[in-house]
Amino acid sequence: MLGITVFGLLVLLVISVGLLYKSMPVIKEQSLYDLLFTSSWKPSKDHFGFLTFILSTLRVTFIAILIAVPLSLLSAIYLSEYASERTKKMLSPGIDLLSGIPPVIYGVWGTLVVVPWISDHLAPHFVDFSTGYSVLAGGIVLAIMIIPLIISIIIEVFAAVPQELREVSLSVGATKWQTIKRVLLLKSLPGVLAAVILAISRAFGETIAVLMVCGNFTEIPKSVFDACYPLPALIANNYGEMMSLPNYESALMFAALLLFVIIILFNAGSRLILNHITQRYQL
Amino acid sequence: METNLYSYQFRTESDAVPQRSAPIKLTKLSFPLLRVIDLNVSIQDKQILKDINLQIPEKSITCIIGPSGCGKTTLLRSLNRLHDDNADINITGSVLVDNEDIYGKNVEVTHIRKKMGLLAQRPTVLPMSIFENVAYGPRIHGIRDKRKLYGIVKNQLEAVGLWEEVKDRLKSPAIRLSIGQQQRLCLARGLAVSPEIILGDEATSALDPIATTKIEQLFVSLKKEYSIVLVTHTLRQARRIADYVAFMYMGELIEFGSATEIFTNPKHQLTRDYIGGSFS
Ligand SMILES: Nc1ncnc2c1ncn2[C@@H]1O[C@H](COP(=O)(O)OP(=O)(O)OP(=O)(O)O)[C@@H](O)[C@H]1O
Ligand SMILES: [Mg+2]
Repeated sequence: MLGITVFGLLVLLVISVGLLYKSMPVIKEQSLYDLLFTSSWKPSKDHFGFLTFILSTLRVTFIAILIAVPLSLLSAIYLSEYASERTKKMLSPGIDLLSGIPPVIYGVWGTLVVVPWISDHLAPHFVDFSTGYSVLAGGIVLAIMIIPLIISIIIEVFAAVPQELREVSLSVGATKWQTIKRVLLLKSLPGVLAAVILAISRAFGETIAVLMVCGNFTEIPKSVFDACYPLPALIANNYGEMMSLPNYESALMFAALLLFVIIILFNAGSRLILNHITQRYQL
Repeated sequence: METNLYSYQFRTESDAVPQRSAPIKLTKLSFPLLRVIDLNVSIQDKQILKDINLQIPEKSITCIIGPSGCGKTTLLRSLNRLHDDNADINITGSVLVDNEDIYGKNVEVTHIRKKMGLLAQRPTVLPMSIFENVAYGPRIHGIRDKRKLYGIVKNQLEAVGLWEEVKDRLKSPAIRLSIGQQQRLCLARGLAVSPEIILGDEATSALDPIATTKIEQLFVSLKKEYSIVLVTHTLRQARRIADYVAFMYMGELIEFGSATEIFTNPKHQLTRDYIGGSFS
């Protein structure tokens, strides 16, 4: 067991060192500040500003979580606390199936359904023009992709809450809904947060489905109806092309490094918060 | 309804609860707080409780005894409809609380549960502070006022003899209390919604002898104000604190009577054998 863990950590180390080594040329050429906080993207002039990509990644993920978490939480509450055994038996395989569908299918569905819906029906209410390929489209498709994951983890978390705890609440005359709000959710808070963290990490890295619907446009999106260009899409779209340009490969490696660091920082940060909450409330 | 109860009363007096040396005071028009009439419970088509008829005397301790698996827990949980969520369980008959059939049509369950404090086998504290554990019920029932809540919490913690031990750390998580303290906290939490009945299912089986004694003494002092129904795993405990005893066997209520009667002069051979320790 220890061996496997150490091996895993080593792989992580090797990847980060490799990425860092490969991105050194572009880091030396431009300051780190320039790379992170400017948005002009001119590979032919040997200038790379990543702000657009960083912001795109964060915004698409944020919207996905905003949509996915409430929906998943409510579905999980329904499935675990209200649904009959029969309904559960019917719906659970469906949820497992959804998490097994390849991302590219979600991407196709996004292009065929979500993108036109945004451009024809939703966007006209808010902005003059939108192709539909947008931050919002990316967020929606991503949300649909991570919902099954969040639901199935939260259901497990709810199942781990002892029945006695619910009965304590019921037996002082609380309704079922009061019991869910005040006891079940409180007790499950760390688990629910862990599910959300996992989903966010997954969302950060999701490439193909998002790439297909978010427009891939190298300008900072002004609204959710504008096109955007997340980091994974940048790498997937361009790696292997235009490699003759000086420092282009190095810049893409830097993009990968950024993604890697964002995910690791995010995970470490949220673990800290999680531990704090668990300790503080002795859950 | 009236006539129904009437006829039932006649029947009770003649067979299910025969008059004995310390009879339950039953006049024809007195309605005991809690009575079980022809209760049948089956789980997945297997009958667990058969025709249970029982009246719980007020302001005294009734112990339900019987061998493991005879249906004690099932009966106790039927008394405040804790089986509601289990679709496999089928219940017929009635349980009257304050003369209201809790299994009647359209009966709202929360006000019934509020009338009964439940004490589980293992202390189950809510993942909150000591204060919030006791304040939980009152808050549920709409009490917001800080001072009022504090008053309730203090009173109930005093009632279970926990106030002196915890008054300086009301805000600390309840889970840090010792098991015995936790169980008393659970009792206080149940009492905080001013119930009329206390239900306990082997409430001392997870506790050490000293904590057990404390809880038993509490029950004895609480019976001045509450009607207490305890499922108990030890005959000795029943001997120590019971005023009345119900003996169950294989899902049936075999005998009900005052503790003295059941322990010194049981009517039924099965009861005699069980009390005598021929089986357990
Ligand atoms: N959820 C359930 N599903 C199926 N059978 C059950 C269920 N709950 C209880 N039973 C059965 O009902 C019978 C009575 O159980 P119950 O828990 O009421 O007994 P008990 O008298 O409390 O026993 P103990 O002294 O061991 O606690 C047992 O035969 C048990 O197997
Ligand atoms: Mg039991």
